[in-house]
Amino acid sequence: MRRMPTKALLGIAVLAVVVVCALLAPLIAPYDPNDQDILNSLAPPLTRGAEGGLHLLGTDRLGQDIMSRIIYGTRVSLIVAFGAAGASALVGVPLGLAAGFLGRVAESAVLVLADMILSIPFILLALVVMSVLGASLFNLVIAFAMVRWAQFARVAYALSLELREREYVLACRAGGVSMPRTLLVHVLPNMLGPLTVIFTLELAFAVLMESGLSFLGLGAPPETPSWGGMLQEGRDELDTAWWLTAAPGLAIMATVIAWNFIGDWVRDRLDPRTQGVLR
Amino acid sequence: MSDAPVLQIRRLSVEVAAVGERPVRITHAVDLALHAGRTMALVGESGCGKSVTALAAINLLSPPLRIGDGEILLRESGGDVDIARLRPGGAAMRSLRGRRIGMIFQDPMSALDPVFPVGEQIAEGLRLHLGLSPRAALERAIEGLRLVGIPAAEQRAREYPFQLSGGMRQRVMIAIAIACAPEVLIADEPSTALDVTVQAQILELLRDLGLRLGMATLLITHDLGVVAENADAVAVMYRGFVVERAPVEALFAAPAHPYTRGLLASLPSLDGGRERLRPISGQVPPIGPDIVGCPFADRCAQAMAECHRLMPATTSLDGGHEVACFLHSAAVAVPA
Amino acid sequence: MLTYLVRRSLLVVVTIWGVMTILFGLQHLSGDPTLLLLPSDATEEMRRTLLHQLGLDRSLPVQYLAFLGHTLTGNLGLSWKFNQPAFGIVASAFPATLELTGAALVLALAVAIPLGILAALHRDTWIDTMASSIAVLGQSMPVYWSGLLLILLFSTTLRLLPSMGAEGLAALILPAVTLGFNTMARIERITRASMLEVLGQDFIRTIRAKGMPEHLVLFRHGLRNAAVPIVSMVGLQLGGLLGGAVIIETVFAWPGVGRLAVNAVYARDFPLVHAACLVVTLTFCLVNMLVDVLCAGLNPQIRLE
Repeated sequence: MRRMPTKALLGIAVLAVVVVCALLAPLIAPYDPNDQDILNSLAPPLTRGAEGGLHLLGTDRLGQDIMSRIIYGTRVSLIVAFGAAGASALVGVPLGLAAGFLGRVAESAVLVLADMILSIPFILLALVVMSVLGASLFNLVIAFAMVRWAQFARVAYALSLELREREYVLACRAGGVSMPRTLLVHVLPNMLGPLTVIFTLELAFAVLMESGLSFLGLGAPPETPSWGGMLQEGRDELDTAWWLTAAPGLAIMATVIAWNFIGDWVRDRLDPRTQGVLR
Repeated sequence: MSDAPVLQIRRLSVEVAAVGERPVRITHAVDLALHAGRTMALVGESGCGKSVTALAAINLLSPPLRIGDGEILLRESGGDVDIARLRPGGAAMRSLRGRRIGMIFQDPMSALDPVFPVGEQIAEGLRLHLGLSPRAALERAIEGLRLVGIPAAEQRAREYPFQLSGGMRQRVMIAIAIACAPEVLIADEPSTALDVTVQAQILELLRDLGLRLGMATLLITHDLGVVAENADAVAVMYRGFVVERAPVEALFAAPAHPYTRGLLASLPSLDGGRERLRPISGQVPPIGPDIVGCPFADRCAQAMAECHRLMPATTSLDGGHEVACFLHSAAVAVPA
Repeated sequence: MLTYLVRRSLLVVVTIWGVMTILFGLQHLSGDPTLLLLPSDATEEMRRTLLHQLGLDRSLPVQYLAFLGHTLTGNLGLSWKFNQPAFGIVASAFPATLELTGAALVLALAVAIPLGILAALHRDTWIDTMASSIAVLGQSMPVYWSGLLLILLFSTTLRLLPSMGAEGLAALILPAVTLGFNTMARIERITRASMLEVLGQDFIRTIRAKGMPEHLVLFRHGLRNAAVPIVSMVGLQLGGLLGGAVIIETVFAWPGVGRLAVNAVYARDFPLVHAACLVVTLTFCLVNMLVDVLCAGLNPQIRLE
């Protein structure tokens, strides 16, 4: 197997850590993330804990261990990121294919709708949606899917334009293969490459946006440890307890960088011809 | 009028010098002489080094390519200037390019700036080299368009490359190259990318302009038919070596080098009956380690023992006909 | 070109209509606002009166049409919280947001374009690597985090710059820099890529063969050709800038539309939310259209059709 560039390896390594943390959080985290220890509140990193443990990254205002909250925060990150990107893809790709293959009406309808939705700055719309639906991880995923499907639809549409003139597609139609089967068996697999790139970029976007929404208090529910929420708490204690801000911010940044690197790697491995579509 | 060459390329070599690796020579000891009003064709297969030599002549090689040994002498009133010794990006070299040496490239589609009107692209050089005012430069540019045979020149000057056909774009390129009335014109496969009917027109235009403006023209091509119709003298290149050089009639009448003979023999004849095509056996080897002996030896039907060991020197036959082959002389080339 | 303009304008209109419809739908999904607006001991009659006052007791289609009609005449209702015309409130906060996003964009361009050109010219050298790293950071640091860090550094520790409010030019610096960071990174990347692509094309060789000095090759020919993808990317980034403004204004207490919108959402003040979203979206659409027209204008092929 060809040697992978360092960046990609780095990205995968970070992601592996995140996934492991998410899966094995109860085993890895030194404390229960909601375990309050008021006596030790706002303790700086490397403070000894009440029962003799070590608060590697300090504690927050309620005495909760930052390290454990970071570890548990990976769950929110991954769930929302994959949920959001996955749901968006599930809705957007079929619509994009429809726009590309099912005639003018579908094309206009989908494209105008997609353009319209992408015209609204995401965070604004997500804010409103979340305030209506209420803060929960599931609602977050819904909010994302409602808007970001348009991104997948656009890309799938552009790819359709390119692929529908290919000979094997024409051959399918000429041979009487039904449209759904053509799309599913012949067209879609050829789109997987560029779609994967978009998927990883959406994952990065989701991590950033989810933490932004949590920061504004309209993302993950307050009891669930989330990196964005931790940053919001840290904001008030900025000058006294810098560790409340540093740790979650670094976690977010590392995850986003990781997804970006992986996305770049996938893009570079693809046929350069398709890269025009991804711009 | 002296018959001294306007541009003389002497023992020029071009090398590939990738960072951290030994430079590899891709052309060796090329000798060419260009005379005013006459066209010298440089012919050979793809990869033989002819385009690279053309770029070297105008010192426009981009890294990792660079000029190795040799001289490129441009005749000047005060004494010749050696282009090979000038810094490629320096002011001295830039004042020669476009002003005293013009160059035309192969693909007119991609060789013109898409966002400027064609008149402006010609005028730019005129303003730069001749210091003309924008209006005077534009008028000269329009005249240049007329000179290369573009009708409705004034209107065309305002158009963009995408609005012109391939043939017209090539004419624009020629107009750009000759705008400042250079003494030397280098044409790298000027007709290859064009439709067949347009090809002949462009070549005829070049010939005509060369005579009218007294330019010394270097015509790069892989097409022997083009050579026969448009050149006064020919140099044949193979794997980075000039293997034969002759006036054009002499080359076609009595080709001396086995490679040249093979090239001519492989052309299908239009007048004869049906016959088998006779290609030269084997393939051009890739650029690799230094060549030992004659570069054509392993494909040559008449190769002798020394052909594989020693490089033949260039010897003169009569009438300005030169060849590097042991069939014609036992002289050995002194390694450069 | 004319057909292009017409088409784009139509898209703007449709988008605005779409936004309004979505917001309308969301508002009515969110349940009865009177529960929030009235004290808990309010009587049923008070509730009904308020409902009637707010026009919320009519049937849905009637409300929708009234809503659309009012918007066209510029009447976006009264803010439930402030009891003043919502549009007026948003309008007075708008210049602040413009100032912030404008400054962020200018800063971003001023850094990104030279940096991108440098990176392209010195490809694979330390300059390129440095530009690359900055770009990676800019694209992955959450905007509120960098904001908080900058506040920590410049306001709290060094006491050089204010962290709140909009008093004077000094207060603009931190929010604008934070907001522009992400945009700067993306524009730097596209500038580099676009310049590299253009400089590798054949016509650059022709221009050099004419004897053009290198600075003309780069700027007059190179940059001019590279401009279209760059301008395009700026257009794509505008949404991110406006969205980022929402968060930045909250972090830095900048009195703009973004902060207004967030507070309105917290307070469930729907007319204000509507007004803010509408204004933001309209701005975004118009600026986007401007950018698209500029792109089309830069490309002679589109311009002359």
